[in-house]
Amino acid sequence: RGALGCRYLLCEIVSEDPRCRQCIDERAVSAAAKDAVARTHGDYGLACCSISFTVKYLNAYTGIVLLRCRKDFYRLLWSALPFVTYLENRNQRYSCFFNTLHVGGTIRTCQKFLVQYNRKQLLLLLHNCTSEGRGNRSNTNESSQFRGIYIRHCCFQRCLKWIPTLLPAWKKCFSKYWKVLDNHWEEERSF
Amino acid sequence: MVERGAGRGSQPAAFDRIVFKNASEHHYMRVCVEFQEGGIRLNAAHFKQLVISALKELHGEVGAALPVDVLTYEEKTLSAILRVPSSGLVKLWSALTLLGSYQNRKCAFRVIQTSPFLLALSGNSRELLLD
Repeated sequence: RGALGCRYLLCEIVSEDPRCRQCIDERAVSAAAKDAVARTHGDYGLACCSISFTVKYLNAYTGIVLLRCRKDFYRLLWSALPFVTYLENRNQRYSCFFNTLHVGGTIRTCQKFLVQYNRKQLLLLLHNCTSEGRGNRSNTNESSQFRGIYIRHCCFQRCLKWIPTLLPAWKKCFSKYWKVLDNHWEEERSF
Repeated sequence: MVERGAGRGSQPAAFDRIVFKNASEHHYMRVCVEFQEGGIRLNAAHFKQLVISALKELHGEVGAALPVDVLTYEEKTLSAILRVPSSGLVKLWSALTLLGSYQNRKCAFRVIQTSPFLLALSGNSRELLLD
């Protein structure tokens, strides 16, 4: 099991342009990462990182990407990721940056981290929304925040389904939050 | 690491021993460049640019940022003495080995001598002529 050592880099693609999400696909992300490694570490770095390089998981809604590479060369890839400045797809370029969240030795550890991270993000977004008060719902900023929460909620649910075993404690803890989110979404749709 | 000779009774310390673990923080290389077509002149700045472009091709921006110094350069023989930090010796040597062309002209680097001490490059027993 330790012979073919791999490292999994969990990254988040952050972009100001909301159209960047439709550009996030496996080919664009892998081309951007390889191009950054080629610029930063040359032919040697490109060859080393390409040995078993794949995009293992991709979520266009939240911009989460899981990259895999060899254990011996994960530092080359990791140090080259901040040099990615844009994603290109079908001759459309959207500027963005990669934010590395976690480095793990197995997919399972990255999954666990991702669920924790999504949970924290969900709480943050929920906290930000309720602190603005029940003001004018047609305010675009608030509606986009709600949309953001709903998208995170869906992805969080999908993430939870991803893990085969679900701790009952989490279900209890989050059932009330899900009810709150569903209520908010219902209210927004009724306007 | 400094050791003092243990004095017994009222005898003072007899010696100081200072030990350096690292051999040297820089490595020095005597290299020369050969072009396939003769009669090519390079000045020192072009030579350094040649070395940096070789590093950039093989090792990227990080390699090109390696602090390589050209200590001496002879335009007639196209040979030079380079200094590089010891951690970057492998990167520099591999980059020079794999450099194939410069401005569409074929060339090759020959590494004549390399040593962690500059003094060792002053004599070369390979080129010694014994009459």
